Formats: sequence, C-alpha cells, structure tokens
Amino acid sequence: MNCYFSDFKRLISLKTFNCLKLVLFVSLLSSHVNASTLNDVPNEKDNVELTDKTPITSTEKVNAEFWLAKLKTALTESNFQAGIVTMKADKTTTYNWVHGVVDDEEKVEVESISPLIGGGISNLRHNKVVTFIEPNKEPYSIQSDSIRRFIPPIFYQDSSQLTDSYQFVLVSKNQIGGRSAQLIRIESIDDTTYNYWVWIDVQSALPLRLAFVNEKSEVIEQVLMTHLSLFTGPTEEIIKLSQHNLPEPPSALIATHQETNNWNMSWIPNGFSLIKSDRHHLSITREVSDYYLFSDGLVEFSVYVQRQLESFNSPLVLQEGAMSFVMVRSDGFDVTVVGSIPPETAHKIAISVKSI
Amino acid sequence: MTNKHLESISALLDDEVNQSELDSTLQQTVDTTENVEAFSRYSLIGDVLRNEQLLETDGSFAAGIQAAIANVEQEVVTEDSSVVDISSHVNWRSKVASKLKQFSQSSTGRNSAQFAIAASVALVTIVGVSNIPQTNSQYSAPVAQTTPLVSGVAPVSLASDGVKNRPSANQMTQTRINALIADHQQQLKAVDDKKEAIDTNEDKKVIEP
Repeated sequence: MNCYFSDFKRLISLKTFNCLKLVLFVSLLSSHVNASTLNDVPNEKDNVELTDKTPITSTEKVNAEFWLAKLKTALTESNFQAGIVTMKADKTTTYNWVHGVVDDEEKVEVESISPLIGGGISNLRHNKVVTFIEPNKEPYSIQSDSIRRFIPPIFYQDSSQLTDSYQFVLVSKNQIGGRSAQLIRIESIDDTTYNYWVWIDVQSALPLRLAFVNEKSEVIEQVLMTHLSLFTGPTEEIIKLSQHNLPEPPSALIATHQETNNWNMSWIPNGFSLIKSDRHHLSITREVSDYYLFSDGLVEFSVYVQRQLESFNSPLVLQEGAMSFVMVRSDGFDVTVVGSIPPETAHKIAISVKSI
Repeated sequence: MTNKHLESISALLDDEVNQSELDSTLQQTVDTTENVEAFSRYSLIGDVLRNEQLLETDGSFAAGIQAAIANVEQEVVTEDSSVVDISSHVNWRSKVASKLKQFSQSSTGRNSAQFAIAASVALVTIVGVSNIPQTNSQYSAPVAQTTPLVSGVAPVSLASDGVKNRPSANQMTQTRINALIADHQQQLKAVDDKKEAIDTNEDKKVIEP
C-alpha cells in the first residue's frame, strides 16, 4: 500500500482534470489486478509500477489478454489442419499440424506435428502425453501440456504469467493469407529479451503468424501458417490419431535435481526463473557439465558450466535466428549460455556466473 | 709402339724408384742409344714443366713440320680444283649479277621476289609480334588474362569453409558448440510442464539475490 500512498501524494500536485483521469485509471486497474491475482501481492505491486512507466489504458490491456485467452481456447479445443513454415536464419522447416478433440467415451485432445519433408521427428500428443517418433528409434513419451516446436508453451497456459517482464499491446488488424488477423505485440519491458509478435486469426483465434522481433523492429525468426482448414468436429484422420497407443511416459524423470550449488549467478534477466538444474553428460561429447535451465514462460535459456577448453577466443558469440550462443572463459571454467535471447543478454548472464 | 720399357726411366726422373730399381734402370739406360735419348728427352720435358729450363729447339724440327705442311697444302689445293676455280675466277661477280638480273626480269622471278620481300616483312612482323607478348607477359600479365575463360561462374574452392568462417572456433570448440546446442534443444524437449509450475516458485528464492 506504500506505493498507493506515494501515488496520491503525487496526485495532489497535478491539475484537477488529470487527477480525475488518473484516479479513474488507477482504480480501474487495481480492481482488475485484484480480480485476477487476489492472493498475489508482489504481482500487484509490479503492475502498478509498470503502468507508471508505460501508459496503457486498461481496456487495451484487457483486450490483448482477451485475445490471448481466445488463442489458448482455440489451441486446445478446435479441430483443424494447418501447414506451417518456420524460418530461422537461412533455415526453413515445414510442418503439417493437426489438432482435434475426440469426445467418445472420454475426452481426448489430439495434436500431431510432423515434418513435411521426411526423416525428422514427429510428435503425437494425447492430452498431457507427448510422444516422440523418430525413424529407426523406439518411440518414447514425456509428460507435457504441449508440443514444443513452434508455439511457445505459455500459449497453452495462462498468458498473464508473462506480465512480470512483458507488456501486451493490441495493434491494428491486417491480412495474412487472405484472413483477417489481429496483431498482439508481447513486448519486453526492459529490452533484455526479444519482442514476440502474434497475429491471431479473427475467425478461429488460431495463430497465423508468430515472430521474434528485435529492438530495431526487425523480424529475426518467424513461424507462418501457409494454409488452415477448420473443421466443426473431429475428422477421420483426427479420430485415427486418437486411437494410437502411445508409450507410457516415465513416472519420474531420471537425474532431475541433483543440486549443483557450486555457481552463483548474480544477474538473471527480469522475469526468468530456474526450471531445473543438474549435472549431466552431453550426449555428443560425453563432457560433464553443470546445467541450469531458465524460463520466463515465453523463452528459455540454458547455462552450462564446464572445464576449460584448450583454446578459444573468449567471448565466442554465435547467432542463428533468435537463438544466441555465448561462451566465455571465466576463472578456471567455461560458461556457455544458449537460448532465444539477444546475444547481449546472454553475454551479461554468462559473465555474471561465479564460483561460490 | 709402346713406351713400356721407358717407364722405368720416367719413374727414375720423377724420383719414384727405390735403390735396386735405380741401379737396374741406370744399367739398362746405358745399354742402348734409344734409352739414352729417351733419358735426355724426359729430363728435358721435366725441366721445362718445372720451369727450370727454357725450351731450346733446333731449327730442324720446325723446318720438318713446315715441309710436311707445305706438302699437305699443295695436295689440297691441287686436288680440290673446283673450289679454287670459283673463288679465283676473275669474272664470278659479274656472272652472278647477270644471272640474278635475268632471274628478276622473268615474271615468276619478279613475283617470287615480291613474295620474298613480303615474306621477309612477315617474318619480321612475326618475330616482332612474337617478341612483344614475351616482353608483355613479364610486366602486364593481367592484361593477357582478361579474356574470360568461363563466363558467369565464380571459382569455388571445394574445401569446407566452415572453420574458416569462425576462425576462433577450432575443431574442439566446434564439437562443443554442436554438443551444447543439441543438448539445449534436448533439454527444452524434455521440460516437464507440471514440474515447471512447482519449481518456478521454489527456485526463485534460491537464485535471485
């Protein structure tokens, strides 16, 4: 409540008209925040600070969140088949994307993502079980709400988790593939991460285009829907997909949370939190690495701490699309940060890692 | 004819004999006049070679050689008379000149003369031209190479440039980069969403200062 008090102190020095506007604005906002996150006091404080810096009218904010809520519903409840092209640097990948809900005896949500050009990994999801199907390999399953390919998992969950570090901006409508699309800009508040733009189909609320945009408003990586077929109910293909027997996911993940408290990260960008940490062998080189995975809900980055390499020019910075790779030589060890974050941010994280 | 029997004399004069050989050789030498003359000649040769004495030749040797040469000369001159004839003929120049005049007055002769002139000019040209590129090639080689061998296609090296593009990354580094990127993607794939939700709250307190 301290911040409210300071707000009111400031209000006294302002003109009456502006005062009235602000009071209305703050009250609207606080009522909204109270409604959505009643039991989360720190969040409420964050939101007030946020609106102080960046004036967004509360109706716009509601609208953007309204669209993202519609997106979540469409992603989990509609029946459709779509063609997807992902463009990352000079690499282009194409997918066939099928989603449907079969409601026979029990409700099964079915999702399938398979590369149009064969040889890659195909995914099939039944509710919260995602199976990986690779040629010449035994298929296996994991527990997950979504297939992490081109749609960030946050869109299958509550998007309001992002309000710590992002602001949602509702922008004008435009046309994508002959369909009317509503653009929602998910913008990094402190520019430590890329902005994420989502064009949502007005009719179906499915994503028609998704793009990572840097601070110069340049698109650096994007996902484009090339065609979309909407169905009123599950098609034969969807029903067939729902009848596959998927391998059981392991009851507990192997080698999770071996505590590795050897390293102190003094700087992590706002909104990111640790998802897992362990010590494991890299599958290709069998090199041992202390590993940390961070996420802000929208993007993830990995931190690897390893023994020193014989020779490399520190810092080593590579970039492919939105993905950055930064390896720095620290005092007796090498730190690597990999993820869909700007290289400057990755470098800042890497140099902040110190041994305890 | 062999000088084998004179070897011992030569060896004696070169101081390459022992006492017994010296005695026998001296004994042999006095036996025949041939040996005595040979001894005299050899010592003379040795003295001249060692610059110990000026060579004094008697006139008979030179006279003999002159006589021999005179004989040979005479024989050559008298036998090969045709050669002597042309060179010694008083009118050969005028004869050749008249022959050439006749030849040049005939039509074939005139044509061929013109042809000869043209050919000589051409020869000079060829020599000249063939000389020019030689000097050129030393100083302006790029000019000679301006003619395009293949048009529109750039030369390409077959060697992989992957490492060159990232000079800081040697083989070891490259392997690690690939391994880390692959592992990052592997880790993302295996993120358990349910776990994520729980861990988010727990670990926040641990990591953030």
